[in-house]
Amino acid sequence: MNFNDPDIVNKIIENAGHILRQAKSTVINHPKFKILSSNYLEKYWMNRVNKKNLFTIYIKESCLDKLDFKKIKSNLDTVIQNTLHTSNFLEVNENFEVLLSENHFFKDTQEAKGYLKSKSEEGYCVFFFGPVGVDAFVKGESVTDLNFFYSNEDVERFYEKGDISSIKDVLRSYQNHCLRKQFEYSRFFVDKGTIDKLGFGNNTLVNKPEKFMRDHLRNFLAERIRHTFRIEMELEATKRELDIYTEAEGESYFFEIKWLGKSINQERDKISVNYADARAREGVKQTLEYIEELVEVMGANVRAGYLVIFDAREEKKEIDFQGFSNVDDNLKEYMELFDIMPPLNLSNVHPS
Amino acid sequence: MKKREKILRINGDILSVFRICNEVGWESLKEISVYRIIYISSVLYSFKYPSKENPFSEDYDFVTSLRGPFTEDIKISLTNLLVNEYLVENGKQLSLGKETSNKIDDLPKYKEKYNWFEVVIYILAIYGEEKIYDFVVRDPEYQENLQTNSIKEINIEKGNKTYSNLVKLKETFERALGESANELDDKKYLEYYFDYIFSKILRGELDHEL
Repeated sequence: MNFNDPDIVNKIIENAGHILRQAKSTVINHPKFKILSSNYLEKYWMNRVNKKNLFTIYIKESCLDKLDFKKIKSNLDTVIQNTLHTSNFLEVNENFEVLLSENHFFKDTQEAKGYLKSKSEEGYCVFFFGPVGVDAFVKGESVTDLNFFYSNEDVERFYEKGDISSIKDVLRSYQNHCLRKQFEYSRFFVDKGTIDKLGFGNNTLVNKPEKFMRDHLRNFLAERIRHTFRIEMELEATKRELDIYTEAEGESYFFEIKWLGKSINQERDKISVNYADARAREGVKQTLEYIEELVEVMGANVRAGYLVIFDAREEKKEIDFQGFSNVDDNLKEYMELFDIMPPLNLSNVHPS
Repeated sequence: MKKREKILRINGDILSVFRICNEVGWESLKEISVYRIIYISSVLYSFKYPSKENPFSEDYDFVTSLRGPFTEDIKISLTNLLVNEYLVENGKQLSLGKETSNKIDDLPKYKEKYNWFEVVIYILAIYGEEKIYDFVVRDPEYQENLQTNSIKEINIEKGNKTYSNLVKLKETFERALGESANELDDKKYLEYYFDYIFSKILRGELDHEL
């Protein structure tokens, strides 16, 4: 821990105003305020299935002293959950019993943020549950600034589905926004207890991770691209299955998924397989074989077959395809319909 | 007799920990969390009260173990509290039992330690019981003992490595903020310290660093 690091000093200087303002706030520094927001509300947000559901919970500052966390925990899962089925703006008391439930729909983020700030000026702690996390407002100021969008309209515009031409942007977003979230990436790996017990390293994938990867990616694509993404489409002659397949304007696209790294066996006591670059090279060959069969046997109008590689190796290195020397000459003509997506890096930086 | 008094004082500390944990919504605790909370509280005490004698010093001789800081005396106290139903066990979780005692308030330095436990547990509760492990395993004083395979007890006195790190953090703020740093109290520095450690942990940057 090098506290002499000039970066740390500069960061403190940059944020001096914010640090000193927050240090003075009796609300933000109330011992129960941080526990409420971090350990109860953020966890509640994290466990919600649909994070695009925007809502606000607000509570009088004077209730902070009397917060009863046991009751809060229980009411979040019952009363609050039920009330949110019909309302998106709830005033609660120290036990998180609902005092007032209303609906507020804002035309844009600016209007929503303005309203939440003004509410917090009336002596309330305001917690906004947005697509990215929980933001708090106290005495007219934002305590945290996690969310970019505060209105459904803005979120909808953001999630407006693109067409297949946006596939590379969507995969970039999958890497940068989805796979970096702990609650997303941790699902690919075995739990912390098993990691500690067996000592195979943090990046130990679950048993047979390929199906999970396929479904996870397919769901992400389906949310962001307007076409229908099918899984396990069987090829006529060889009966082999395409991982993910879609059609757009009469043209076929498919995604072959491979992964690098190690996965645990079914009994969860040993590593079952440990894939390195050779696995990616097999993927190239396999994808080209699929293109060949789709074009030659099934007469499909293939626009592109993509190789998608999840790289879960502890140490990420550039994948060596050895100039595709493993590809038979008869398959090389299909290279014009083939593409390799930038690897999707999976790292279990904070096992849970 | 002295040993009995010591166990009574530790009993008081353990019950304080459970009572405060109840306030933050942790109705039960793993046994191992009790050791870790008392360890963290004892190793950080001198930062908050540099001119006072550390009230934990006379009762706790923590050593490194495979499960974290360990002292036989907490083990004895826990057994004692379970037998007398001050605590109950449910699976691997412990919680307050039906027996309560007001006499613990009269134990020496009880209130002083209770207040300090309150400060520490309210900060830990921001992160959750499951994160206490992350903090203890990366605690500089604990790590030093672990790395040197020391069989000596862990230093919880003023000047231990954790204390020194906190002092450095405080000096960094004072250097950066100048006189304005006077507006920050030691409790705030503790919060920043935990915040710093946990943000590093979340970014996976503190695995091998001391």
